Amino acid sequence: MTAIADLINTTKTYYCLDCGVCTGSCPVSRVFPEFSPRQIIERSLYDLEELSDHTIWSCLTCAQCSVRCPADINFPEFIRLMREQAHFVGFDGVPAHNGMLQTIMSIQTKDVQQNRLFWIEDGKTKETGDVFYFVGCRPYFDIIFRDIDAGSITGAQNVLKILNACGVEPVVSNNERCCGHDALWNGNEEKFKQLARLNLDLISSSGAKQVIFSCPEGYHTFKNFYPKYFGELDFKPVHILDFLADKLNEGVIQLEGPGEEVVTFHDPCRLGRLAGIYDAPRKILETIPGIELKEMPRSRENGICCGTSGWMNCSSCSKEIQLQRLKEAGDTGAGTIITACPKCQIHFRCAKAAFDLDIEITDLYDLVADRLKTE
Amino acid sequence: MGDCHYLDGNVKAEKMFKMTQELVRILGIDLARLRLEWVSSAEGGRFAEIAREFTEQIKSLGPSSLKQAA
Repeated sequence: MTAIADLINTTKTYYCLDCGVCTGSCPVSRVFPEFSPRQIIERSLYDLEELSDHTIWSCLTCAQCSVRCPADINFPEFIRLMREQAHFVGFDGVPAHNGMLQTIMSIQTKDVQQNRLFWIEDGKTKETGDVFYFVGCRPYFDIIFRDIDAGSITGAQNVLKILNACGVEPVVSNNERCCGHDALWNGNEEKFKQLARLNLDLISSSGAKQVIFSCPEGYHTFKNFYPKYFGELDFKPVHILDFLADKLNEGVIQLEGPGEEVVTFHDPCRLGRLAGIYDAPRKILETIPGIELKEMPRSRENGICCGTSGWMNCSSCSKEIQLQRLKEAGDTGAGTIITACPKCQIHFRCAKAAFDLDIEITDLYDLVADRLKTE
Repeated sequence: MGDCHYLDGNVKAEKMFKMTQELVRILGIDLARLRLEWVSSAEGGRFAEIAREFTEQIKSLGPSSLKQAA
């Protein structure tokens, strides 16, 4: 049996009804007609697909197709497994930023002693404890994307500020590695496993029972992929949005004005469709006095992806997706698009800079930290 | 600066170098393993001298920890 035939069986892709809802829903197909999930599946079913097919690397794995598929086919997973096979025989996607991010991930699989805690300033952290804050790649993004004012590290500083305001002093570690999300979706399972193993050992040695994530990719990867490869976790992955919604409910923290502002919310694909968190960010926005949330036509499970994933195959198609999304946001009458993912923020700020658009792009945690009521 | 055969090539190179330096530092790699020097195509002797000297420096630092899996 060929590699592709094998993964048709694993993912039960033979249930495909030929309806084409996948391609009709796909944000990539709309701007890059050569890419078609339906045709990839059809070619695979008729034994016509090749692992050298370069279009498999264009999929954003955003799951817009799979949430609508009447046959419940997990196309992103099908693509991920196909990429694994393709990578194994020497085919890869086109890395963005000349592969810099992939190189950083590879270096992190090695015996390095990072200096990644430069951002903590007056935030309170611990060496060991019950709660671990998994910062993710923000320290690296902050350096790489300074020219588009991505503000990646401000997000981490603000999450720490919020945690401290909730009375939590989390463990933050210099030895944290990339969660492996991108390696996984780049088809590099080996690299993913190396990174994941190091993170699991680190968390285990910190004694944490709860790991808090502010990055949707890290949360999704820890929650859904780590157990697949390493068995049940001995800690609970918690998304900061769920944590924060509880703390606001309990009245531990309160949010205040000033001023009226109309905003719209962009659902990151890993947060929404893949982790199922839609209500928490909206509840938090509702809690802030003076903030009015205007939804975009494509929101919640229909929210469109930010245009690139896995630092791969960034193209004029990505830019077109981002441009359309930012216009959609502006058309709601909102002056600010709120995101809750460091990568969505980077991609939108890149498009904003490239097209000189008149819309603010803000991280939800920056907004919350700014509106924290201090006694 | 700006006096470059590739117009603003050296300006871009310096920007890229500074970013790389910051990345190398937070990755925990010895900064002595990275260097930026300006050598024009007319300065062959100087190029050879720098390359020799930097090679010696790297040799004296020994193998990097990146050779080892964590």
